[in-house]
Amino acid sequence: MYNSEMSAPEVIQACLGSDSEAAWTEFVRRFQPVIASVILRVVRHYGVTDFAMVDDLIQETYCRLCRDNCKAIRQFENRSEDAIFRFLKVVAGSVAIDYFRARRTYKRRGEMADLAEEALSHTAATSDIASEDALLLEEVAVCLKRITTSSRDELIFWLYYRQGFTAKDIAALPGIGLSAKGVESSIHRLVQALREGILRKKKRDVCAGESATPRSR
Amino acid sequence: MRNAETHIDLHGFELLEADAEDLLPEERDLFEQVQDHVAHCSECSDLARIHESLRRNIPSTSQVQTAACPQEQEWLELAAGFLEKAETEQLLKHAGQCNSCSHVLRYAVEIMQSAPSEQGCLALAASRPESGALIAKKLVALGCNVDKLGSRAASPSFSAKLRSAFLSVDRSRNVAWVCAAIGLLIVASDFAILRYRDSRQPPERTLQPPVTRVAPNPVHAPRTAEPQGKNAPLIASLTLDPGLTRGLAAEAVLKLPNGVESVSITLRFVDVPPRELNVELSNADGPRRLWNKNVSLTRNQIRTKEISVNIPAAVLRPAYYSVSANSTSDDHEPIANYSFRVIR
Repeated sequence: MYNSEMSAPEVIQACLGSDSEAAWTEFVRRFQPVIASVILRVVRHYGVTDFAMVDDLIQETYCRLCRDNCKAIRQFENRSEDAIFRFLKVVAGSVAIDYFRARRTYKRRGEMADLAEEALSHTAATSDIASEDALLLEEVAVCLKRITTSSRDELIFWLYYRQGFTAKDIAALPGIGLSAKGVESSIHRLVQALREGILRKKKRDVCAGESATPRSR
Repeated sequence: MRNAETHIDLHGFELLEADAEDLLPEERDLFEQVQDHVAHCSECSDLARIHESLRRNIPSTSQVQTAACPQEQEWLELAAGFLEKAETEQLLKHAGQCNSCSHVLRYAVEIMQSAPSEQGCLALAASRPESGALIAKKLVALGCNVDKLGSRAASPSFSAKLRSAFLSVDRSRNVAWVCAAIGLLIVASDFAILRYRDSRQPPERTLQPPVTRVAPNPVHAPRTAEPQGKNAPLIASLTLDPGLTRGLAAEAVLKLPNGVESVSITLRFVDVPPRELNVELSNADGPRRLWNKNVSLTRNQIRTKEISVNIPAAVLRPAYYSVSANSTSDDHEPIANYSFRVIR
C-alpha cells in the first residue's frame, strides 16, 4: 500500500492519518536523504566529519517534526511535492544550526566559529579603505539613490558589489524575479548610469571651478 | 560575442578581473577581445575602471551580528520561499547592508539548493540500511499519528519519550557495533586460515567470490523514487567502468527523467587510484568542460578502487558525455576516462 508510487504529500497524509509502520517507513525512506543532505552540509560547514553526530541530528530533526503531535507537519499548509522538500530542509537546517549554536555556548570563545564570526573574519581583511575610496563610496551611494527606479535594483547592486554575491546567487534569491542574465543586465545598467552621473558631476565641478576663479581674483 | 559595435557586458568586466592563467581555453579568446575593446573604447574603459573600483573598495557596513539581525531560521525560510513578499523584501534589504546576514543568507540558499545526493549522504544510508526501519518503528511505537497522539500531544514528556526512543536506537546501534566487532574477529581469523590455505591451493580460491565485473556501464535504478511523473526521483545513478564506449553495444546509457536533481556517478578504477583526483565532465562532441571537482579519496575508496561523484542534473541533456579522472599534480596525469550517453 505504501510504496514509491505515492507522491510525497500522500506519504505525509498517510503518516498523519494512520497507525501504519509501513507509512512511516516510506516517510523515512523518502525524506531521510533530504534531511541527511542538509545535516551533512551544515556539519561539514563546521568542519565536523562524524557520522554519529549526523545520525543524532537526523534523529533530532524527526523529534522536531513529530513534537506536539507532529504539529510542524500539520501546520505546514503548502503540501506540494516541492514545498515539502523545502520545508524539511528548513527544519533540518534549523536543527543543525541550533545544535552548533548551543554547543558554542558551552565552549570558550574561539574554539567554535559560528556563521557570523566566520563572516567577520572573511571581511576583516577587506575593510581597510583609504579616505578617497570612502569618498567614492559616498558618491556612489548618493548617485545610486538618484538613478535607481526600484528598490530591487539598489538591492541587487549592494548584494553584488558589497556582499560579493554573483549574478547567479542573486537570481536564486526569492523575490528577485530575474534570471542571472537579467541580474547582470541590471548591474550593467546601474554601472553605466553611475558613470554618466559621475561624468555630469565632474563637468559641474569644472564649471563651478571656472566661474569661481574670476570672482576670487 | 563582441565586435567593434558592441560594448562590454558585466561578464566581460568580470573576465578582466581574472588572472589570465586561470581562464578556461574558450574564455581566453574572449578575454583578449575584451582587453582589445577596452584599449580602444573610452566608455568601456571608464566602466571597467568603475567596476573594478567598486569591487575593490566597497566595504560592508556591519560585520557583526546584532540584536536587530534576523535569526538563521528566518533566512532559511526566506531561501525556501516561505515568507511573504514584504517580509522577503525587508530581509533582503537588511542582507544588502549587513555582511554577517548576507553570509548566512548565501549559506541558507546553498542549503536549499543542496540535493540529497551527496556522497556522504549515500554512504550514511549504505552504512546503516536498517536504521530507517528502526526509526520508523520507533515513530509508530510512540504513536506519531492522529488517533494515539491526541492525548499524548498534551503530555510535556512526549518529546522526551521520543528522544529516549531514539536513544534506544543508539543503544541497539552500540550492541550492533559490539556484535560487528566480534564478527570481525571471527572473519579475521577465518581470513588468516584461508590465506594460509591459499598459499597451498590454486589462486582462484579466495575468502570472497571474485569481484563480479558487472556488464559495462550498467544503469542503476534511481535510489529515491520512480522515474516518471510526480514521483520523479531526486537522484539518478550510474556506474562506469573505464574506457570510451561511445557507439559500442556496451555504451552506458543514463535515463534522466524530468525532475531529477542530481546524478550520482560511480567511477571504477582498474589500478589503485591516487589520494587526490580531479574529475571532469565534458561534452563528448566539444569537448567543452561542463563540470569538475577535486575529490579526496577515503581509504575505503582507494581500497575498493571506486568513487562516487554527484553531478547536477542541470548540466546534462540528451547527448554523449565523457568523464575523465586526472591526478591533481601539476602534470594532470590522466588516470581513467569514461563515457556515457544521456537519454530522456
